[in-house]
Amino acid sequence: MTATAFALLAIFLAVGLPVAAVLAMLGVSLAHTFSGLPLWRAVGETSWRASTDTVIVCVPMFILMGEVLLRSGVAENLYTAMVRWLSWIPGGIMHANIGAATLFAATSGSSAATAATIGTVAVPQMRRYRYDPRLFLGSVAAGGTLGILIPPSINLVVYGVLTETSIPKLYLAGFFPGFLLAALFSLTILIACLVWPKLDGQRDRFHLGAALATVPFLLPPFGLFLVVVGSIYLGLATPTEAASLGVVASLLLAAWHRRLNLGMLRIAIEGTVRTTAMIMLIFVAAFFLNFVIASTGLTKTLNDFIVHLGWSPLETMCAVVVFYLVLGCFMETMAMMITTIPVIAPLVVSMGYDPVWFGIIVILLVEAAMITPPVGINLYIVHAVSGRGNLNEVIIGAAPFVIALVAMIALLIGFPNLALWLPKNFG
Amino acid sequence: MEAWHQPQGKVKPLHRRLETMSRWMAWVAGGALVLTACLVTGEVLLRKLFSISLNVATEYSAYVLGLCAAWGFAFALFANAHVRVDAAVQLLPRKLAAFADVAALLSLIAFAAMLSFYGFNTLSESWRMAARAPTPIGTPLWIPQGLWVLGLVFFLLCSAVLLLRAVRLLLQGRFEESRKLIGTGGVAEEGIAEVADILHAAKAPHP
Repeated sequence: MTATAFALLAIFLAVGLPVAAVLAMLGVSLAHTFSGLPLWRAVGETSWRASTDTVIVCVPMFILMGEVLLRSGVAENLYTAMVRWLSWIPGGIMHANIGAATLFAATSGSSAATAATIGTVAVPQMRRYRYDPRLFLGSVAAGGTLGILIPPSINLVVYGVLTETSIPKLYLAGFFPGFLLAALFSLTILIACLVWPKLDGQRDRFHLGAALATVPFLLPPFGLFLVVVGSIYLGLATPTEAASLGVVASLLLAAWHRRLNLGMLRIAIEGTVRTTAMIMLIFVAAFFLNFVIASTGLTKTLNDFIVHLGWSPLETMCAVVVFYLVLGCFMETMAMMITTIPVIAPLVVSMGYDPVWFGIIVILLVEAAMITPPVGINLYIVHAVSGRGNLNEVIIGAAPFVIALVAMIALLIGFPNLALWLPKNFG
Repeated sequence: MEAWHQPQGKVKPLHRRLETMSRWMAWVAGGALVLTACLVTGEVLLRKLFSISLNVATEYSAYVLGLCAAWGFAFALFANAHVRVDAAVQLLPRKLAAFADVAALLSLIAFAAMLSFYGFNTLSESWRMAARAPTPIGTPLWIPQGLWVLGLVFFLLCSAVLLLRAVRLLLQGRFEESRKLIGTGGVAEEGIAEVADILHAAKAPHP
């Protein structure tokens, strides 16, 4: 019967029914089959609780902060700075793409936004210095995904809420892998350009003076990072408070750059509400489904099933990685997280893995999902920014970075302390 | 807007008027979010600088989350932003795809109806028991819950009106328009819609 339910779930999703509606239908049918009680009557209560969760509040706050920041002029300055600092390395401006995305990610929580913003400023440079568009666009798409790993990350908040894991700990855990991944991306570019010099463009020499002149450009994002993430790390503010501080700070920053006006605020607000509503509808449905699953004892059934398979923890983890890599090709990433994490995370944790560590693994898998076709949002964003004909160029260009992501996952499985050292010692 | 949405005369069709209304509701909810961010910031500063603890903003921020969700559902609906796994739908011939869109909207209506009905039950229960939030302010729960249910019912209304409109288009054989109204353009269009103004700025000639 459970198998039938999950087969139906897969079919309903595949024919394009909204994810939230499918989760709710699954909840009702599971309640109908496995419980004598009309559990669906609780949907009012569970939805109210899900809609007023005091931790989830920081999701719309971070979205709003990102929407404002995106239009504040910070990214353009950041990019200029990164070009001057990094473009002498083989691979040139592509390292600036990664560098600017990394720094922008440290202040914004969204990946599509990061890719769009960096892409907008980067593509004219690609033409000017005659880079091979494939690797160049790939580096923008991949760099954009750093937005959800380096704190503040909206996806980590969602993971934390779904698994009842501490968000400050998750943010500490994401810090080092985020920068390591950025370095891996840069290494990928370096190797690719050393092996195939044709991928590279014209390079400028490094001028220390010109580079130092950009330091003031780096101060606003650094300050914002300090306010938002620093206050969480130091325990001065809850994530929601930190996100609110971030909203106010980004508004001030936009005002400072003379970008703050009613029109801009209106667009930022509309974008925020649209994305929040989209996430919350799925979240409300998933909350109800989880309530049904917990009430009917299905969690134990599933757990027994996995234990029955007799896989070792490592084999299970590999299966989980493959599962997400495949699913991520077809599903919007936030929907994928909210749908699967409540079932998969407890299984993984019951095998002895650390929930904080698994959170970082999940984010890496979500990052891969964002740059794998046919449903990889960053590929389309970068393609749209580039204004060029062929999507395949971006897909091919992003492929080496998918390999880097898988390598990063393998590293993290081999050396869990890459993620866990900070939260263990400072959490 | 596009000409075919207003075929005869000056009267806007109902779904367009509802869409405008949903936009207003999104502004209200989003505006409340901005104000809440300022309120929370003020509270944090008061606490750190003057050791004054108010502890009201957290509670309000939770209600504002509910508002952004419930009042945003319809707005997201008109933007076709509610997530569907549409990789397969995109491969269908457009007639079939248009029917898949209608099926998707039907299932969304079922969920919206369920939310509205049981949400209203929760509200009337709170009203009957005169329930208050377990906080220092003790907000009477019917106030935030009332606003929340209003959003849910509006979402239901909008989806129903959209469905009628889409079915009419299908009966007239206007599949393309129906797809435009309630279909998804695939991940490409959705992602691009999300960052449309940035892309727009990118296409503008550089000074």
